[in-house]
Amino acid sequence: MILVLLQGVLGAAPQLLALFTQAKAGQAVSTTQVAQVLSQYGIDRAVFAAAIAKAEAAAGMGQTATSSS
Amino acid sequence: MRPFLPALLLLPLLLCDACTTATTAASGTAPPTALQTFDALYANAVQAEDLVLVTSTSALNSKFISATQAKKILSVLDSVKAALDAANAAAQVGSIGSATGNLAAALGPIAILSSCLTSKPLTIAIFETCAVKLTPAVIS
Repeated sequence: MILVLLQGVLGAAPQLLALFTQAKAGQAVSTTQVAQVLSQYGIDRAVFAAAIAKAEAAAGMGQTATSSS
Repeated sequence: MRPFLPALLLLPLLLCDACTTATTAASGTAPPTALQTFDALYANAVQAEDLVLVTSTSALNSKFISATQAKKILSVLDSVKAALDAANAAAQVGSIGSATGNLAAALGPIAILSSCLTSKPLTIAIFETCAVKLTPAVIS
Protein backbone atom coordinates (compact mmCIF):
# COMPACT_ATOMS: atom_id res chain seq x y z
CA MET A 1 0.00 0.00 0.00
CA ILE A 2 2.74 2.44 0.98
CA LEU A 3 4.63 1.77 -2.24
CA VAL A 4 1.48 2.33 -4.30
CA LEU A 5 0.87 5.65 -2.57
CA LEU A 6 4.47 6.71 -3.02
CA GLN A 7 4.36 5.71 -6.67
CA GLY A 8 1.17 7.74 -7.12
CA VAL A 9 2.67 10.85 -5.58
CA LEU A 10 5.95 10.54 -7.44
CA GLY A 11 4.19 9.78 -10.69
CA ALA A 12 2.18 12.92 -10.20
CA ALA A 13 5.20 15.00 -9.41
CA PRO A 14 8.17 14.08 -11.63
CA GLN A 15 10.17 17.01 -10.32
CA LEU A 16 9.95 15.59 -6.83
CA LEU A 17 11.23 12.30 -8.18
CA ALA A 18 14.17 14.17 -9.67
CA LEU A 19 15.00 15.53 -6.23
CA PHE A 20 14.84 12.02 -4.77
CA THR A 21 17.21 10.84 -7.49
CA GLN A 22 19.52 13.74 -6.76
CA ALA A 23 19.54 12.92 -3.07
CA LYS A 24 20.10 9.24 -3.76
CA ALA A 25 23.13 10.15 -5.86
CA GLY A 26 24.64 11.82 -2.82
CA GLN A 27 24.02 15.38 -3.89
CA ALA A 28 22.54 17.72 -1.33
CA VAL A 29 18.93 18.81 -1.78
CA SER A 30 18.11 22.11 -0.16
CA THR A 31 14.79 23.04 1.37
CA THR A 32 14.62 25.87 -1.16
CA GLN A 33 14.68 23.36 -4.01
CA VAL A 34 11.92 21.31 -2.43
CA ALA A 35 9.81 24.38 -1.75
CA GLN A 36 10.29 25.57 -5.31
CA VAL A 37 9.12 22.26 -6.76
CA LEU A 38 6.12 22.10 -4.46
CA SER A 39 5.10 25.66 -5.28
CA GLN A 40 5.27 24.92 -9.00
CA TYR A 41 3.28 21.74 -8.75
CA GLY A 42 0.77 22.45 -6.05
CA ILE A 43 0.48 20.33 -2.96
CA ASP A 44 -3.29 19.97 -3.36
CA ARG A 45 -2.74 18.29 -6.74
CA ALA A 46 -0.29 15.85 -5.19
CA VAL A 47 -2.73 15.09 -2.39
CA PHE A 48 -5.50 14.42 -4.92
CA ALA A 49 -3.24 12.13 -6.95
CA ALA A 50 -2.28 10.28 -3.79
CA ALA A 51 -5.95 9.90 -2.83
CA ILE A 52 -6.66 8.41 -6.26
CA ALA A 53 -3.75 6.01 -5.89
CA LYS A 54 -5.04 5.00 -2.47
CA ALA A 55 -8.58 4.45 -3.78
CA GLU A 56 -7.30 2.39 -6.69
CA ALA A 57 -5.13 0.31 -4.41
CA ALA A 58 -8.12 -0.32 -2.15
CA ALA A 59 -10.20 -1.32 -5.16
CA GLY A 60 -7.42 -3.55 -6.45
CA MET A 61 -7.28 -1.77 -9.75
CA GLY A 62 -3.51 -1.88 -9.81
CA GLN A 63 -3.12 1.43 -11.60
CA THR A 64 -1.85 4.72 -10.27
CA ALA A 65 -2.91 8.25 -11.01
CA THR A 66 -0.53 10.49 -12.88
CA SER A 67 -0.69 14.16 -13.60
CA SER A 68 1.01 15.82 -16.54
CA SER A 69 1.59 19.10 -14.77
CA MET B 1 -18.33 15.81 5.88
CA ARG B 2 -17.92 18.33 3.07
CA PRO B 3 -16.07 21.26 4.62
CA PHE B 4 -15.40 23.02 1.32
CA LEU B 5 -18.95 22.90 0.04
CA PRO B 6 -19.97 26.42 1.17
CA ALA B 7 -16.97 27.96 -0.56
CA LEU B 8 -17.61 25.93 -3.69
CA LEU B 9 -21.17 27.19 -3.84
CA LEU B 10 -19.75 30.67 -4.45
CA LEU B 11 -17.99 29.50 -7.59
CA PRO B 12 -20.88 30.15 -10.02
CA LEU B 13 -20.96 33.81 -8.97
CA LEU B 14 -17.20 34.09 -9.33
CA LEU B 15 -17.18 32.37 -12.70
CA CYS B 16 -20.14 34.34 -14.02
CA ASP B 17 -18.35 37.59 -13.28
CA ALA B 18 -15.16 36.25 -14.81
CA CYS B 19 -16.85 35.17 -18.06
CA THR B 20 -18.63 38.50 -18.48
CA THR B 21 -15.47 40.50 -18.06
CA ALA B 22 -13.43 38.14 -20.23
CA THR B 23 -15.96 38.50 -23.05
CA THR B 24 -15.81 42.28 -22.77
CA ALA B 25 -12.03 42.21 -23.00
CA ALA B 26 -12.06 39.87 -25.99
CA SER B 27 -14.54 42.01 -27.92
CA GLY B 28 -12.01 44.80 -28.39
CA THR B 29 -13.73 47.23 -26.05
CA ALA B 30 -11.41 46.46 -23.18
CA PRO B 31 -10.65 49.39 -20.90
CA PRO B 32 -7.03 50.55 -20.42
CA THR B 33 -6.83 48.55 -17.21
CA ALA B 34 -7.65 45.27 -18.95
CA LEU B 35 -4.45 43.56 -17.84
CA GLN B 36 -5.09 44.49 -14.24
CA THR B 37 -8.58 43.06 -14.59
CA PHE B 38 -7.13 39.92 -16.09
CA ASP B 39 -4.77 39.53 -13.15
CA ALA B 40 -7.70 39.51 -10.77
CA LEU B 41 -9.68 37.08 -12.92
CA TYR B 42 -6.66 34.83 -13.32
CA ALA B 43 -6.05 34.77 -9.57
CA ASN B 44 -9.70 33.89 -8.97
CA ALA B 45 -9.57 31.13 -11.58
CA VAL B 46 -6.43 29.62 -10.05
CA GLN B 47 -8.11 29.70 -6.67
CA ALA B 48 -11.26 28.10 -8.11
CA GLU B 49 -9.22 25.34 -9.76
CA ASP B 50 -7.50 24.60 -6.48
CA LEU B 51 -10.84 24.58 -4.69
CA VAL B 52 -12.13 21.98 -7.15
CA LEU B 53 -9.01 19.90 -6.47
CA VAL B 54 -9.58 20.00 -2.73
CA THR B 55 -13.31 19.31 -3.05
CA SER B 56 -12.67 16.41 -5.42
CA THR B 57 -10.21 14.92 -2.94
CA SER B 58 -12.81 15.21 -0.20
CA ALA B 59 -15.49 13.67 -2.42
CA LEU B 60 -13.21 10.78 -3.37
CA ASN B 61 -12.22 10.10 0.22
CA SER B 62 -15.91 10.10 1.16
CA LYS B 63 -16.61 7.70 -1.75
CA PHE B 64 -19.05 10.16 -3.35
CA ILE B 65 -17.10 9.73 -6.59
CA SER B 66 -15.13 6.76 -7.89
CA ALA B 67 -11.39 6.51 -8.50
CA THR B 68 -12.06 6.37 -12.23
CA GLN B 69 -14.10 9.57 -12.05
CA ALA B 70 -11.40 11.18 -9.94
CA LYS B 71 -8.78 10.29 -12.56
CA LYS B 72 -10.92 11.97 -15.21
CA ILE B 73 -11.23 15.04 -13.00
CA LEU B 74 -7.46 15.16 -12.50
CA SER B 75 -6.91 14.84 -16.24
CA VAL B 76 -9.35 17.66 -16.98
CA LEU B 77 -7.83 19.81 -14.25
CA ASP B 78 -4.41 19.25 -15.81
CA SER B 79 -5.77 20.72 -19.03
CA VAL B 80 -7.31 23.57 -17.03
CA LYS B 81 -3.94 24.30 -15.43
CA ALA B 82 -2.29 24.26 -18.85
CA ALA B 83 -4.88 26.72 -20.15
CA LEU B 84 -4.38 28.95 -17.12
CA ASP B 85 -0.60 28.86 -17.60
CA ALA B 86 -1.07 29.75 -21.27
CA ALA B 87 -3.41 32.58 -20.35
CA ASN B 88 -0.94 33.95 -17.85
CA ALA B 89 1.94 33.68 -20.32
CA ALA B 90 -0.10 35.51 -22.97
CA ALA B 91 -0.99 38.24 -20.50
CA GLN B 92 2.67 38.75 -19.62
CA VAL B 93 3.40 39.69 -23.26
CA GLY B 94 0.24 41.79 -23.61
CA SER B 95 -1.70 39.36 -25.79
CA ILE B 96 -5.15 40.14 -24.44
CA GLY B 97 -7.07 38.01 -26.93
CA SER B 98 -5.06 34.88 -26.22
CA ALA B 99 -5.10 35.56 -22.48
CA THR B 100 -8.85 35.97 -22.25
CA GLY B 101 -9.49 33.09 -24.66
CA ASN B 102 -7.44 30.65 -22.64
CA LEU B 103 -8.90 31.97 -19.41
CA ALA B 104 -12.40 31.37 -20.73
CA ALA B 105 -11.37 27.88 -21.90
CA ALA B 106 -10.15 27.11 -18.39
CA LEU B 107 -13.31 28.39 -16.73
CA GLY B 108 -15.65 26.08 -18.66
CA PRO B 109 -14.54 22.78 -17.08
CA ILE B 110 -14.21 24.48 -13.69
CA ALA B 111 -17.84 25.61 -13.88
CA ILE B 112 -19.05 22.12 -14.84
CA LEU B 113 -17.02 20.44 -12.11
CA SER B 114 -18.15 22.89 -9.44
CA SER B 115 -21.74 22.30 -10.47
CA CYS B 116 -21.39 18.51 -10.46
CA LEU B 117 -19.49 18.36 -7.19
CA THR B 118 -22.22 20.38 -5.46
CA SER B 119 -24.98 18.05 -6.65
CA LYS B 120 -27.33 17.04 -3.86
CA PRO B 121 -27.13 14.24 -3.15
CA LEU B 122 -23.72 13.61 -4.63
CA THR B 123 -23.32 9.98 -5.66
CA ILE B 124 -21.16 8.17 -8.17
CA ALA B 125 -24.14 7.71 -10.50
CA ILE B 126 -25.26 11.33 -10.25
CA PHE B 127 -21.77 12.64 -10.86
CA GLU B 128 -21.42 10.34 -13.87
CA THR B 129 -24.58 11.76 -15.41
CA CYS B 130 -23.68 15.33 -14.53
CA ALA B 131 -20.16 15.11 -15.93
CA VAL B 132 -21.18 13.81 -19.35
CA LYS B 133 -20.41 17.19 -20.91
CA LEU B 134 -17.09 17.51 -19.09
CA THR B 135 -14.28 17.88 -21.60
CA PRO B 136 -10.67 19.07 -21.22
CA ALA B 137 -9.86 22.73 -21.71
CA VAL B 138 -8.51 23.44 -25.17
CA ILE B 139 -5.64 25.91 -25.41
CA SER B 140 -6.08 28.46 -28.17
